[in-house]
Amino acid sequence: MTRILYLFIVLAVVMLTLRSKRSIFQWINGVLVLLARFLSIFPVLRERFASAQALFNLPPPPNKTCLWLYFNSIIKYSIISARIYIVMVAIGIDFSYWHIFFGTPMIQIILLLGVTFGGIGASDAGWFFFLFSFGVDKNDIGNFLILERILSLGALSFVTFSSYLYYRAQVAYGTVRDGQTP
Amino acid sequence: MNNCYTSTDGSSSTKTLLSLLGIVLFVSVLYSTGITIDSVWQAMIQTQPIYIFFMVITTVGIVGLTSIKWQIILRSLNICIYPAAGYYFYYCAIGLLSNSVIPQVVQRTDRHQFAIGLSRAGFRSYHTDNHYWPIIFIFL
Repeated sequence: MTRILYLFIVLAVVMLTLRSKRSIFQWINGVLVLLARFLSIFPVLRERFASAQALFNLPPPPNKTCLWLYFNSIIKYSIISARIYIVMVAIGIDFSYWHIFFGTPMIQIILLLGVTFGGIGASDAGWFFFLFSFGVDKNDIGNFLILERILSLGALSFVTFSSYLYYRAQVAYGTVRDGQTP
Repeated sequence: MNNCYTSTDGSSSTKTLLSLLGIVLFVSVLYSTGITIDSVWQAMIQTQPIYIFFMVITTVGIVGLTSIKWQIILRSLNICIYPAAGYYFYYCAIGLLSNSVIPQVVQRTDRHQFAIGLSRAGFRSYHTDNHYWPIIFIFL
């Protein structure tokens, strides 16, 4: 019940700010740009955040676009959390979905920096400390880390291969509307 | 074209070193959990097919939402392309996959894959050094 109430409060804030001249999205975007600018100071992150400088001189995106993109992100993180929850259930770890839902973005921040490929090492250490702090058995955490990587990589490879076949089939036999075949 | 998407800032060795450190950290974390090959193997063979099916379904959801995100961004930039069905989905899938397995030295994220895809579609000027405001949403 409390969660539904929180959801309504968040939605109300979003709706109200959409009606204001300077929306909350513009403030958030400004903070993100500043963060990106700060991160681009570090040589190893410079390439990833190099475009931040150019963002200052450009007009802010429309509120509707922002709303769609933020909504998209929330749904995406819900699904990522569900995927992690599935791996935990498969191993037999008893853990709440809501804990994962709120823990996943913290781990994803490590991936955001993108120092190592797929966040290997950094994200694993994050998950280890997160789960260990909730009293999950060490052995189960180890199994989770390995299985999560194998299953997610396997699933993603399968999806990529399938989508490649579908796309090539569409290029070969489907209808390309404007004649611009990539 | 590849020069647009490959690290040229001289910090490749640093990134390689960090990636290697990541692997060392990964192995250290696994070592500290005390797991054995046997226990991992047992966990793998005991995984029921329904969970693998769910993994595939959720992966389709994640890739699909990423492709929707890109379509919203491109539409906002007034970049209109009419490719064959599955174009956005395929480039997002291969981008996310390569982001998982290829070190940052090579830089093949979904963003870069899309830039390559757009280049092939005829948008030669659209590459990773010339992003507009939507780049902030890639961080999310």
